[in-house]
This record gives sequence, C-alpha cells and structure tokens, in this order.
Amino acid sequence: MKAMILILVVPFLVGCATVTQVATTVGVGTGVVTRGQKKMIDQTAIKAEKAARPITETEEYYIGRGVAARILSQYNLYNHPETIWYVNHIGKTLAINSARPYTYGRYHFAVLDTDEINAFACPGGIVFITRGMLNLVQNEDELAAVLAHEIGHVTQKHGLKAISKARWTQVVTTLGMEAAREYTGAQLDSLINLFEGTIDDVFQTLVVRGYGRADEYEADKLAIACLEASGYDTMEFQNLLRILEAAQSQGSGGIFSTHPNIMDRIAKVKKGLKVAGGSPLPPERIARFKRIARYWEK
Amino acid sequence: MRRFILIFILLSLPGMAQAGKMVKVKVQKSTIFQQPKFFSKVVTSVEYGDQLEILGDLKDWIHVKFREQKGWIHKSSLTSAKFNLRTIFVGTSSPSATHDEVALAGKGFTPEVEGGYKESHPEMNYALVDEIETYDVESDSLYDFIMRGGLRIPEAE
Repeated sequence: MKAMILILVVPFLVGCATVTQVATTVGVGTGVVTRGQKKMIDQTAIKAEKAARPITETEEYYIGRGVAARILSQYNLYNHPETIWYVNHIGKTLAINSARPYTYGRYHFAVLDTDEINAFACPGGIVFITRGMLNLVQNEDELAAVLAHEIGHVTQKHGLKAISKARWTQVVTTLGMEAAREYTGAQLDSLINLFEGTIDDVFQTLVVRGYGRADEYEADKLAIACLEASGYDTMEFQNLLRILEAAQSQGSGGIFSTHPNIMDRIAKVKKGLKVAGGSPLPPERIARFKRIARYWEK
Repeated sequence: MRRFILIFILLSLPGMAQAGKMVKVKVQKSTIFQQPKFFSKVVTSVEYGDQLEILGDLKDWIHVKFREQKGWIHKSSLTSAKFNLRTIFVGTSSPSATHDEVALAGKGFTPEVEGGYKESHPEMNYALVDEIETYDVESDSLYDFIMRGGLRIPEAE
C-alpha cells in the first residue's frame, strides 16, 4: 500500500512542491507515509520545482530586449516613418489573430537597414525584418507571411528553447525559494553572468544556427492559420517561398543559412493550404503596398 | 484508500480556471472590453499585477470583474487560475504558491539584472530597443487598416 502511494505521489512532484508537501503531511497524519519518507519526498519536490520553474513572461521580455540590443549592436534601424507605420499595422493585425495577442511588452515590428534577406523574432515580441526582405516581397500578403512566421516563433516561445537547461537550472537555484528578498551582490553578479549567457544562447540560435526544423515547420503551419484568420491570401505564402528559393540561387547566408531547405518548406506549406486561392487581392491592399514599397530600394 | 483517491484527484486539478477565482494581469498593459472581441467598447485598462475576479469564459476570452466593472479580457493577458491546495487543506496561503506569483514578486531576470548587464556591455544598443518599444498602433487606426484592406478581426463565436 505504501509503495503504491509513493508511486502515485511521485509523478506529481515536478512543479508542484507545495501540493506535494500538503499531500505528504496528510500521508504522515494518516500513517501511510513515515516522517523520513515525507522529508525525502518534500526535498525532491522542492528541487524538482526549482529546476522546472518555467521562464516567466517578464523574464522572457528582458531576454528579448537583450537579444534585440545585441542584434542592434550589429545593424542600424531603417527609420522611415511610413514603413514603420505600415509594418506595425500588418504585424498587429496578425498578432490579434494569433494564439497569443498579448505579451508582457507587446509586439513591435522594426526594420533593419541592410540588404541581407532575413527576419528575426526576439522572445517576447520584438520582430525584425530586413530592408532586403522588404525589397524581395511583392505584395502585402507576402510581407504578412514573413511576419506571421516570426509571430509563430514568439507564440510558441521557440527562442527560449535555445537556453541551456544547465544555465536555467543555475538561474533558478541562485534565486532561492523566498518570494520577497533582495539580491546579494554575489547573487546579482551571478545572475548578470547567467543573463549574458542566456542572451547568447538565444542570439546564436536566431542569427547564427537557426531553430530546429520542427520549430520552423511549426512556425510555417501557425503562419498559415494566422494569415487565414486575418484574411490574407495564404497562397501568397507559397509564392513567398518560391521567391526566396529564386533569391537563394543568387546568394547565400542570412535566412538561407538558418532555415530548412525551401523546397521542403514549400511541400509542407502546400499541404496546409485549405483554399486554392487565385482570387485577386483587394485593390486597397495592392495600392497601399505600392505607395510604401517605392521607398525601400536604395 | 478513499482519502488517498481524493488526494490523487485533487492533485490532478491545478490549471483549471473557475468562476470566483482570482487571476492576475501578467502583461504591462491590457484592456477589458465590453464584448469578447477586439475593438469592442473599452470598459477599462488594467496593468501588470492587477487582480481580477473570473466570472466565466468564452473560448479565448475571460469574463472578469475589476473594481466593480465587468467585461472581457483576452486570456493571454492573465496568469492561469490554479487551485491552491494548501489553502484547501491548511487554510493559509503558501508563500510560493504558484510560479506566476514568484514572477510577480520580481524575481529572476529583472530590470536590476538588465541594468547590470547594460553597464558591463555598453556596446549593446538598448537605446534603439527603447525606441522600438515606442512603435505603437492606435486602436482606431488599426481597425481602419483592417477594414480598408479587406482583412478580418477574430470573433469569439
């Protein structure tokens, strides 16, 4: 009987230390768990909870700001008010049609002033698209497809998966369990070092190595759902991938070194498209894209 | 054995939202709307840490009460409502009851940690990050953009 109880209680230990402590207290009171067993289970639960604590939204926000600051130490911003207005209106339209319309610091869409063809999503909702990518897309719906893919990475917190588990465990164990306590100098120094390492983990994945294939395909799938919910023509996503494929034959690096084979993505995206498409885009969408796109060529 | 089955069932419940439970706002700013949809009339704004009482839910929207005002807020703005078993069994609230509360207490990667990092890495361009965070879209302007472009807003039903 006792063994059965232990088997049934232990699976609940992870992330549930307080609950477990209550359960073991009841167990001791009723004589089904000894005090020694209670101590062992409680300690294991506390350790497991510490290591398992997820990254909170505020922490995601500060990590995202750090990654953005690092990207912006290498690129300038394209400060064209009409473009910023346009890209943010498209991005916000997509965000409210995504699974996660609100993040701690909200979504913000910025343009990097480079001819490279790329886009990055920092954890928490700062999304970058390059001027090179703006130059490549042929209409608002293709631009929306790029942003929808990046929003997919934000909603699924793909960037945070890059953080080394060992590093995160160290962060959590540095903090202790008390709810309100100021950091000691040593704790703060340690957290700053861990913060730096965390930003590096995410930066390397976003800019250098790329996400895993599964995350990219998931972001594509979510992008299609988001585009469809927003009223954009999902067939333009497929067109975007074809344009990217053509651009790839003329150059390398940027998005081509961090994303899976484009033909594989086209094949998967095709499967996800529900409608045949082909109906013309609304004139207003075509017109407003043309009005702003003429500024992008340098 | 029955007592144990009860514990087992209760342990499997955390995560369920329930009418009457309190939730907190986990984002800097959010909006309580009159209807469960974006662009419906704004009831009030809420900020990080504000406590709301759950009255019900409809898909991604939670019906809440905040300072005697009732309305709908998107679930992505809120911490998840969890049963606090310590309250049920012992009658007091645990100091580390949920992960969300730990976050609300300002632990982990905080402005203090970011400040220390900025100081030791002046090459990181936080000034531009702050500038990007000023990029905002007015609700009326977004609504107009969506409608003129033949786009859609999500419907709760």
